[in-house]
Amino acid sequence: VILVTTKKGQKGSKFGITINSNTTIDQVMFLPDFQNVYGQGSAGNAATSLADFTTASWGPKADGSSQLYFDGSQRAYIAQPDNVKDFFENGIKSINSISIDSSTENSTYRFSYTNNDTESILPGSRLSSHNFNLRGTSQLNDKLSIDTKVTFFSQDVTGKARTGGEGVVTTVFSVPRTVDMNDMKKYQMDNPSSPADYRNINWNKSGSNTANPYWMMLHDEDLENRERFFGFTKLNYEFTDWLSGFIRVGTDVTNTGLYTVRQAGHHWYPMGRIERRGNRSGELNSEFLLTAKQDLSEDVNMVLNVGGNMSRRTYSATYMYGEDFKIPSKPFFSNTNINRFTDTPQQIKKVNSLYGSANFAYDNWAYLDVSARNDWSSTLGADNRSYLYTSVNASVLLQDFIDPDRKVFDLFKVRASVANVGNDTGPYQLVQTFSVPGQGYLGLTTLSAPSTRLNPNLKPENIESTEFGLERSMFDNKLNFDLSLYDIKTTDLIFRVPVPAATGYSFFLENIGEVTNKGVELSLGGTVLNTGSITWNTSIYASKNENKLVSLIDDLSTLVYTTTNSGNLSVQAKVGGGIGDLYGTAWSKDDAGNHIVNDAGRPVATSPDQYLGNAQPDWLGGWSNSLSFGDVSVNFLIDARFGGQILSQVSSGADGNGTSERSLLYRESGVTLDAVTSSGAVNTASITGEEYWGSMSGIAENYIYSQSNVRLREFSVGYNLPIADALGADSVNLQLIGRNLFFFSKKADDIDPEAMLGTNIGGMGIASGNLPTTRSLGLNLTLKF
Amino acid sequence: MKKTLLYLAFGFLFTFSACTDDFDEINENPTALTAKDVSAKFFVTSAQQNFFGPNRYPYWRGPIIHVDRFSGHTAFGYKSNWWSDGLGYTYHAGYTGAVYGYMEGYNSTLNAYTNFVKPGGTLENDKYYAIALIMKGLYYQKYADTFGAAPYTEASDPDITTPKFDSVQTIYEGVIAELDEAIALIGDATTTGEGPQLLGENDLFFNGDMQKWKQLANSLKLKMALRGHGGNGADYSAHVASALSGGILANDNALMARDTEITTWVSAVYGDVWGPFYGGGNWHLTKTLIDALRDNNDPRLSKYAKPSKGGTIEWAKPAEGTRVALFDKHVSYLTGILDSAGATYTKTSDGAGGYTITMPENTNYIGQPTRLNGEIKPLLDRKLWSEPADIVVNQHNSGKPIFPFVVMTAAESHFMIAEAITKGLASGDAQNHYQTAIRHAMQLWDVAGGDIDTYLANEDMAKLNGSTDQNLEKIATQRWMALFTNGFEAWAVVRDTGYPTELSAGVSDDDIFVLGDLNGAYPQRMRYGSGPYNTNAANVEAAASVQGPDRQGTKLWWAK
Repeated sequence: VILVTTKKGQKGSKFGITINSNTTIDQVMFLPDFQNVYGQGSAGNAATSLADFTTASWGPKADGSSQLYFDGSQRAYIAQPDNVKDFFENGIKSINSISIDSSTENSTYRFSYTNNDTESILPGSRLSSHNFNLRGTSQLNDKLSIDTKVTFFSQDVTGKARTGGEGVVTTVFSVPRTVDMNDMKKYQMDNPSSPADYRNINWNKSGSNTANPYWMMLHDEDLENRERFFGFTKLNYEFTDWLSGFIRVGTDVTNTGLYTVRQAGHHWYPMGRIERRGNRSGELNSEFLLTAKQDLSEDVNMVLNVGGNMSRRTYSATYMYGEDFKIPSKPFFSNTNINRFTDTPQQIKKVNSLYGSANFAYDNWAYLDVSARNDWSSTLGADNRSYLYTSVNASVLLQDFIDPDRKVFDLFKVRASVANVGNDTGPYQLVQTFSVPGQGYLGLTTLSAPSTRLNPNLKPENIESTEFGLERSMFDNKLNFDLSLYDIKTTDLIFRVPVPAATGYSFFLENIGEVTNKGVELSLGGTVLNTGSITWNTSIYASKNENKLVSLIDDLSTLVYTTTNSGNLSVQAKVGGGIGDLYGTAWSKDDAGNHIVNDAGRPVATSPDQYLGNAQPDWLGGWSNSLSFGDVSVNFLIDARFGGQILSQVSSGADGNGTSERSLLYRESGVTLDAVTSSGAVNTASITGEEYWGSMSGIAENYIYSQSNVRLREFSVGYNLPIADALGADSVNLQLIGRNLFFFSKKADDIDPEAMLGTNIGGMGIASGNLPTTRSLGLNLTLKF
Repeated sequence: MKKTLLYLAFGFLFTFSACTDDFDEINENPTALTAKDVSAKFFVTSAQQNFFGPNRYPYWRGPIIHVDRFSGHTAFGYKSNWWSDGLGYTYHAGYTGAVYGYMEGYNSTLNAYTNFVKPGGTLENDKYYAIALIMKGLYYQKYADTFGAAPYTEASDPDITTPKFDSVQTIYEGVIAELDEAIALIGDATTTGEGPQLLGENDLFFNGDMQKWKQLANSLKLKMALRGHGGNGADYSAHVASALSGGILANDNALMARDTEITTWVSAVYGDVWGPFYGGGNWHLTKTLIDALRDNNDPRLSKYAKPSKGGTIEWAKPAEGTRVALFDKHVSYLTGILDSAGATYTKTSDGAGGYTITMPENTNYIGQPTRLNGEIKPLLDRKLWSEPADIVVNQHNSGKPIFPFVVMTAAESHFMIAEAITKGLASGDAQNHYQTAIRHAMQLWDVAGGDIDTYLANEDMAKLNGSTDQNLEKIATQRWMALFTNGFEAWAVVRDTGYPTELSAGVSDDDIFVLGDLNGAYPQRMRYGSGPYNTNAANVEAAASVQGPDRQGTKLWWAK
C-alpha cells in the first residue's frame, strides 16, 4: 500500500505565495572518441561514383584532395572533427511554478501550478507540460471533516527521440568522418515528383537505407501527449474520542496519445507510414477505514484499524495504422493505400480488499505491529482469486537501557519485520483464445494461433520479505547510522516464460519458481562542523543487492530477456545464476588457448553462449554534503557505482564503421594475427585493418565494459539574497546548480555506463544509441511571500 | 450523521460477498474468439499462409537472403548492393536466427489447428486432421532439410516443456508414417464434409479437393523416400513404390496465389524488398541458372529473366588500397564471364589503367557468378547482369500479377518418377516422365505449347540419352531449374544430388570469392537460432553430438 501525502495548507498560517523559477542549460557531456585521419570510403578507396558510396570511413587519408562528395559535387576530402557534435544543440529547460497557501479558522487550501518547457539537445525535440494542483480541507463541524484534492496534468512531447540501433543517435554517430553534418540539413530534394525523388538524401549510395538524422527529427513526426486527472474526496468522522473513521473515493485517469509519421521516402518505410495510438487507463478506489485507539493499561497503548477497498481499473485503446501514401506529399490516413484499425474495448480489473491491523506500544520503547489483508481479484480463477497476506513488525528503543545518561546514544533502535504480499495479474490471462487478424488472406478469414499458453490455474504471486534494521544516533544527533539487511523471496511469480517453440507455443504463462533478493543498505552521516555561522553536514551511503533465480518451471533453466539484433549477446537469467547475466560471443580459442582464425586470417567467433558478465552493479554508493556559510549554501553529491558490465554497441558500431579512434590500429599495416586456423596450423594470412575491425566489432566480448564509475552528480551554490525585505518577501533564494559535471573515474570507453537501453531488466546491460548524457547548468530562483 | 457513516461502512462490508459475482464475466475478452466461436476451415488458411507466405521479416531473411542464394538461383553483391555475396555464406546470427525463429515458431499455428481437429478435439474431423498431418509433413520436411535434427517425436506435447531433437532420419520416417495415416483417412473422400464442415475456398491449394490432398501426400512421400533412400543404408524402396501406386500429383500443382493487396507485414512478396528500396537490396540471377537456360535454348529464359540492361560500364582502376593489385585479375575474370556468356560488348581502355565496357542494351543474358567478394564488388555494375522477370518481383498494390508461392508441382512429381526409374526403384519410361515434367514446368511459366514441343524435340537437355549418372544429372539440373522461386527445395536438390556441380563444388580463390565460415565449401544446412540454446540447451547440444557440430558445413543424413 502506497500512501501519498501532499502538503496541506498549514492551518492558522498566513496567506503565502511561493514562486520558483528554474532555468537549466543541457549540453552533451562527452562524445565517443572519433578518428579524424581517414575519410569515407572502403578498402582504402574513396568512392569514385555515387553508386560506390558506403557509410563507412575506411577510405584513404583525408588529405584535402578533391574527391566526390555524396551530393555529387567534388569537395576537399578533409576530416570534420565536430560533425557529430554539430548535430546536438543546447537544451534549455525552463520550469516555473507558483503556489498559494491560505487558511481560515476551519479550512485550508493550497493551489499550485507548474509549467515545464524543455528543449532537448536534439533539434526539433521538445516537451511542455502544465500541472495544476488544488487541495482543500475543511472542518465541517466538531466531528466531521473533509479533505479534497484535484490534480490535472497535461504534457506534449514533439520529436520524441528514437533510441537504439536504428535510432537517431546511432545514425548521427555513424556519420562518415569527412561528411559535414550541416550538409545533411537538406534531407530531401526540392519539388519532388517521382517516388524516387521523395527518397531521403543521405551520405550513403543512392538506394541505401541509411537515415538522415535531420529527416528523422524534423520531417518525421513523433508526438506524444498525455493528460492525467487525479483526485479524491475523503470524509473523516470522529465518532468518539477513541473511534474515528473515514470514507474516501479517489480516481485517477490517464489518456495517452501517440502519433507517428514516417514520411514517404523514409529510409526504412519508403512508401511512408502513419500510426495513431490512443490509450486510456483509469482507476477508481472506494475505501473506508475505522480506527480505534485504546490504552489497555498505563503502559500499553493500542491502535486498531479495520478497513476495506474496492478498486476498479480500466484500460481501453485504439490503434490506427496506414502505410503507402497515395500522394506522397502529405501524410494522413485517407491518403494511405493500406490501413487497419484495432480497437481494444474497455478491459476491467477489480480487486476488493479487506484489511485490519493492530499496533501496540509498550512503555514507549517496545512496539509491535501486526496486519492482515485479504484481496479478491477478478483476474484470477475462482479457486485462486482470494488471497491473504500478513505482516509482523517489531522494534525496540534501547538507548535508555544501554546508555541511560545519553552520553553517546541519543537513539538505539533495533527493528525486525516479516511480511508477505500477494499479487495478481492483468485481465484475460486465463482462457485460451484466438484473434482474427484484420487482413486475412486473399479476402478469406484467418485465425491467429496464440503464441502464449494461458493458464486457468494461475495462482497469486507471493512476495515474502524479512528485514532487520539497526538505527543509531550519537553525540547529540551529530552522528547517525542506519543499517538494514533484507531478504526478499518471490515465489509463484506470474511470468510469460519463453519455451521452445516446438512445444506449440513460444511462451507459457506460469507461476514460476523462486527469485531471491538479498541486500544491505547502509548510511552514515553527521554534522562535521557547526559553529553557528558555518555548518557542514555530510553523509555516506552504500547499498548492495544480490538477486538469484533459484528455480523456474520444470525442465527449464534459462530465461532470456533480450537478444541484440545481431544475435551476439543476450541478457539472461539462469537457474542458480544472477538475473541480468550477459552471454555472448567471444573470439574462439583452441584447447591450448590459441585464438582461432579462418583460412583468410579473420577471427572466428564462438557461439553466443559465453558468460561475459552481469548487468547489475555490485555496489552503489554516494557521498552527499551540504555546507552553509551564513546566507550561502553549497551542496554536492558524488555518486559511485562499482561492478556490473555493459555491452557498448556504440563502440562496436564505430569500430565496424571505421569512425572510432581505436579503428586506426592496423589501418596502414594490416595484421597477421597471432592465431591458428581451425586445422591447427599457424596463421600466415594477413588481413587489413578494415577486415580486422569488421570481425572484431561483431564479437560481443570485445565491447563488454565495466559499469564502474564515480562522478560528481550534483554541485550547487545557493544564496539568500538580502533583498527580501525590499521586495516585501519572506525570502529570496538564488541557486546555481550543476549536474553530471565530470567523472572522477570511468572505465567504459565512449559511453556513460549508466545510460542503458532500458530501465527494465531486458534493457539493462546494453548501451545502444542512447541519448548522450548531458551536463547541465541551471539557475534556480525561489521567492517566498 | 454518525449512523449514516456506520451504515455506509457496514454496507460496504456486506456488499463484498456479492462483489465477486461479475468477476468471471469481466475477465472474458470481448475481442478474442474462444474454441466455441471458431471453425476449422479458418485455420487451414492460416496454416497455409503462415508457412508459405510469411511476413517480410522471415521472407527477407529466409528466401531472399539465404536459401534462394544457397540454391544458386540468385546472387547479391553487385556494385551498389548493401551486401557482398558473402552474406549468409558467412554465418550471420541475427539473419539466421530470424529464419530459425520463423521455422520453429510456425509450430504454434500448426499445433493450434491440429489440436482442434484431431481425434477428441473440439472440432474433430478426420479429413481436416488428414490435412493437418500433410501440412505437418510439408513443415517437417522443410524444417529438417534446412536445419537438420529438430524436435519431432516429443514436440507439441503439453506435458513436455523441453522436447528432445530427433534425427533427420527419424523425422523422415515419422512423417512418411503420418502421410500414410493421412492417405488412409482421406480414402475416397472428395470433401471434408458438408455445411460448416465444408472446406472449400479456405483451402488455398486445392479448394477443398481431398483427392488432390491425397496426391500431394503421395508426392511428398515420394520426395522424402527418394531423398532418404540409401542414407545410413536406409531402404525406402517400398515407400517409393507405395507412393507411386497411391497416385502422385501428376497433373495439378499445389500453388498458393499471392495476395497482391495485403500488407507486407502479414505476407510478403519479393517485390516488397525489390521495389521500395531503390535497388540497395536487390539481386541478380546467377551465372549457373542463366547458363543452363541460355545454353540449352530454354524458352523459360525470358520468363525467368530479363536481359542485361547494358550501356556503358566503367571499370575504374582504384588508385589506392588492396584492390589495386587485384584489379587486372578481376578484369580478366569478369571478361571471361562475359565471353563465356557469348555476350556482345566492347572493352576499351579508359586511359587511367581502367576500362570502359560498352554493351548493347537489353540484349545479352548474363548471370552473375555466386559468392563474389567485396573487393571485386565495385566492378559488378548492375547493368551487366540479368535481373529476375517482372512477374517474380512485382510489388504489392501495383496492379500487376505476382508469381505464386510454389508448394509442390506436377513437374516435380514427374522428375521424381524419372529419377526413381533411373535409379531402378520403379519401372516405366523415364524419358517420358522426364519430358512430361519439363512440359509441366514450362506450362507453369506460361511457355507456349509450340516452344515446349520444339525444346523437347531438339534439345539434348530434354533427353535422357546418356549413362545413368548423366541422366541423373540432367534430371537433377532440370528439377533444380524448375524450382526457381522455391529456394528451400532447389537448395535441397543440389545438396542431395550434387548437381549443378558448379554450385556444389564451392569456391576457393579468395581474390575473387568470399570463403567465409565455410572456407568456400557449399552450405549444407543453416545453423540453429538462439531460441533452442536459450530454452532447450541440453537437447540442442545432444543433437550436435549426433549429427555433427552446429555449423553450416555439417552435412545432413541424406546429403551427397
